[in-house]
Amino acid sequence: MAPTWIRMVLALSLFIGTIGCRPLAPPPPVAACAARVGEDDFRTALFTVYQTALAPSPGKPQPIPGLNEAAHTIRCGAPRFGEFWRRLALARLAARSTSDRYIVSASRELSGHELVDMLANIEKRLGGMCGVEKRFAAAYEIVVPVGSTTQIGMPSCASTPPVTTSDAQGWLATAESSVWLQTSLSQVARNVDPQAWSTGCGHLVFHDTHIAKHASGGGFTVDPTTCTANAGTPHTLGTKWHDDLFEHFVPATYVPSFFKNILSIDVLQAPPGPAYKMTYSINTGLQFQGWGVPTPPCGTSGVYIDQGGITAIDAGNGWEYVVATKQLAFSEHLPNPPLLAQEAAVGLHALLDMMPFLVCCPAGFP
Amino acid sequence: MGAFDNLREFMDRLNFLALKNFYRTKAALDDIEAGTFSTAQTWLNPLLVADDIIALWLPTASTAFATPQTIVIPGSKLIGTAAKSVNLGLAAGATAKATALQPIGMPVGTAAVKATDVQPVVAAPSLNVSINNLGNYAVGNYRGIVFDGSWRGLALVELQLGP
Repeated sequence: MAPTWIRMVLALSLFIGTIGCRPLAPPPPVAACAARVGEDDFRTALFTVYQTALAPSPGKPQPIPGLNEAAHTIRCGAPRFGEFWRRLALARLAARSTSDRYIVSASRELSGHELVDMLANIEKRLGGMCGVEKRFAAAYEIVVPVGSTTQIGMPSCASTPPVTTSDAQGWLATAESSVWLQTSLSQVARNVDPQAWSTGCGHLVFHDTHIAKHASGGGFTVDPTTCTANAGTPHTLGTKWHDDLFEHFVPATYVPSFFKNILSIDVLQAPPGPAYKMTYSINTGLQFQGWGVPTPPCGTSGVYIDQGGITAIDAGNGWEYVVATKQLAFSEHLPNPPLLAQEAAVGLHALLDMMPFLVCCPAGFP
Repeated sequence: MGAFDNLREFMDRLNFLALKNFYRTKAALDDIEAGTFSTAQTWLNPLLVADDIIALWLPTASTAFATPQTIVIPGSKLIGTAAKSVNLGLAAGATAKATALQPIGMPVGTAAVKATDVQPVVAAPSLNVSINNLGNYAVGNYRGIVFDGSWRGLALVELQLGP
């Protein structure tokens, strides 16, 4: 009979060996989608994912409150708000990490059963790859393949990965994005026309955009009940025009929240020329809500800077190069504008990432 | 009365209400005085409040986390231009850029004063702000902000435009 200690070692070895040979446990079941996802919840979830994806790496994995729930909300809201958002979120999270167990868990929740193979491809391709933007580009090519242009909720034209940067300095949040889209310049011009921001895939954040009616004595005529500028005469979408536009913008950073502003728009170039160029800047802020501050009376601006532009150049080979920029600075009516600028930079990153979806908005959206 | 009397007195002296940071601090201070810290722990974020306090002690140019002081500039549509100079302790070479001036407390729909009509110039240690083409705008009050080169708030600019 072997001594007791030898028997113990053998038993332990056998036990460990059994563990090593045991087949891997299947991934945890994906939670079923219970109810219809609301707009506020979807925007907030996108913000949570982007905030995680763009944050500096903490070094070692740390739990991120609300991330799995956000991933679940995006997956379940994708049929309503666009499959593109789900895949964009997946690419952004994967670019951040494919080894951090908390982010991997959220990525699995995002992918669900439908995209499980896609996620496996991403993990395989991004293994050992460095650089967040490089990783995002690689992941984007997997989640938005050329053949996806006919899929429901995906951009209806082929696109290269958006190259987006965002930053906050002092009170100012900035973002810039460039992307190649396989479409016509006239389609770009029609869909990035500010009058169309609220009628296509931009409706998630722009609830209303229309030409503001000027008052006879200067300024604008505004319905004081809704704090909405009365509608002026619209311009033909995608053409050159110079006018003022009312926008009802709903940011993702705080619920509930909105900004109602009048923007001065200058469309400087438009088809049939070889380029489209539009710039905008705040003319008059009308009202805002959010951040725990009582909603002020109509006529109180929430922003001091809200400006940017979109330029598109026809490459002549069926592809258009589109560049979008935006700057934002909140007024002192809101708490801690520098902190809000940091959050806004994250929101702007997501907003500009959506350029393929905005320009090549699939049928049925919103 | 508790150990935070001096802090409260200090904050009141700094007129936090006018600085619009009051919403964040008053409930917290009430909690502290009442001996309940539930709201205080949430609202009195030590870092943010410390930023505010430190920023208020520093020269205006450093008030990245505090609301900068307001420069009130009276003007007349008839004269067409208004200007004011305020010593903010600015260093030579500092830069300044102004936004459009948004209407405040005016009929809804009033057009803002364009940023191109607001010209901030640093003449260390002062900031000079001139506002042009006043004849183009409606009588009333407007407010904008002047940022430094790092987009920190240097000063709020309030135009009080008369006929």
